[in-house]
Amino acid sequence: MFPSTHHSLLAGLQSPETPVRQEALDRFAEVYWKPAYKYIRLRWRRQPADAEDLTQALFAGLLVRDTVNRFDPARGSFHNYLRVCIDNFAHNRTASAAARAIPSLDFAGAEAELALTSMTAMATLTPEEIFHREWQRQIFALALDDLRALAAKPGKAAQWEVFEAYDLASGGDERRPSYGELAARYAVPATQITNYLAWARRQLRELTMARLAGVTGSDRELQAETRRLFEGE
Amino acid sequence: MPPLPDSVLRHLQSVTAAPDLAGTPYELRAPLGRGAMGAVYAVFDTRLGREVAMKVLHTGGRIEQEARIVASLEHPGIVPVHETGELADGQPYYTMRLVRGRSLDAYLTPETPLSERLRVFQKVCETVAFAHSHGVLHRDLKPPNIMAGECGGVVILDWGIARHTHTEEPPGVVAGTPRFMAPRSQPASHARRTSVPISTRWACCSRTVCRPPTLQRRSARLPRGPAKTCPRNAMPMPPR
Repeated sequence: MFPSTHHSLLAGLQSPETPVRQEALDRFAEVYWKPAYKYIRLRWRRQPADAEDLTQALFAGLLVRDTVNRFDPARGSFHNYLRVCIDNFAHNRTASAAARAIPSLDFAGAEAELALTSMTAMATLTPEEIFHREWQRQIFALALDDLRALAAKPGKAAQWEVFEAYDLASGGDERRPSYGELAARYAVPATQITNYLAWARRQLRELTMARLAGVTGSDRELQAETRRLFEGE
Repeated sequence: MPPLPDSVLRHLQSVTAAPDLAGTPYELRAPLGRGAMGAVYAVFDTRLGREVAMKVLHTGGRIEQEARIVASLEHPGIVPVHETGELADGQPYYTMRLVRGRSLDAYLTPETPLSERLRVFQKVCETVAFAHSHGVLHRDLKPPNIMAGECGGVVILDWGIARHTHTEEPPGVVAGTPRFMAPRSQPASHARRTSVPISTRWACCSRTVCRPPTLQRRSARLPRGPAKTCPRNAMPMPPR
């Protein structure tokens, strides 16, 4: 089920009340800063310091004000509109346009992720696909953080461990342990492994939807963004 | 948290998009297709020991209506509905017979004999006529929604935006796939029986002559208002 979008992100960004506007901006930046940074690095081939300054400027509000005022929902999704705005922004501005720094943005972490990214694979993607893929990655990364925090509560440690061992195993299906192996490792029946994974996946889905709901302005946009999130290739 | 590799991201997309079948008698087998409103999966019915198709909607708005419409049409060209329900996470679903076959897109090729194309065309027309005789408009006829099944059967799928002719929709609502929409069906409040044979003809002709309808650009502009006339000379004609 779709979570309700109680607060419109766009309305929040346009709010005259500073706390409301700042809260909306934080939500917006949390989801989009890393896709934007990586997009600027890969699409515009900016050096890290340059891309950092541009990203800081973007999410310090320089882009947001203009973007929000000009956005017309009838002409497309905010998601795609934002990418076009980033293109214009990166094209027109230099590093000196950077505004105040936002200390919460972990550029070193983003660079480390880029270093692990297969540039060969990225070279086969269009700029739109790069932005889209990084947006999907960021939404899932944030939801995984939420899931880990949820699983830290008493009684959920085994669920997280099984989920981490099975669903977060890198290297594809061949590296994934079997349900039988996991059942032996955690001394539970194989059916319990199924239950643990079902719980974690259900929670993860709800948490990704909640993250999306935080950066969409209507149920209709949320539905569209949900479809984009779960698209594979 | 280390970065998510592409393989893990794809896996997470797959497992979180899959329906949560806990508490149901079904086991997930494979995704079959995904549309704007929902997704269809092959699932195994553990009670009866058979595979069926399960359609899960992202939102609950129309699934009861869709299931009721399909269930009201008992015809070999329309897939029978088995049951409706709600998954553990609140997503509504219904199950139906699993059709094994290929969509018209894949089934008809330039090598397909004209006699076979016309047989498929006739089956589609019979099914559409049956639905019309029960006051139901499909409103999204197109090759991907027509399946040529085993044993020569031809079925029309995805009645997600179908409606009864006696029901009203808010003015301005446009339903369907622009490439295959009949001019007179736009906007949806103007949908009438005459528009669906046009959609049928477009859907079938596009595969019969192996090229899409030629009104694509015009149809893309059509939501502004209903066309006064149907430009028949623009219709693709089957080979003689």
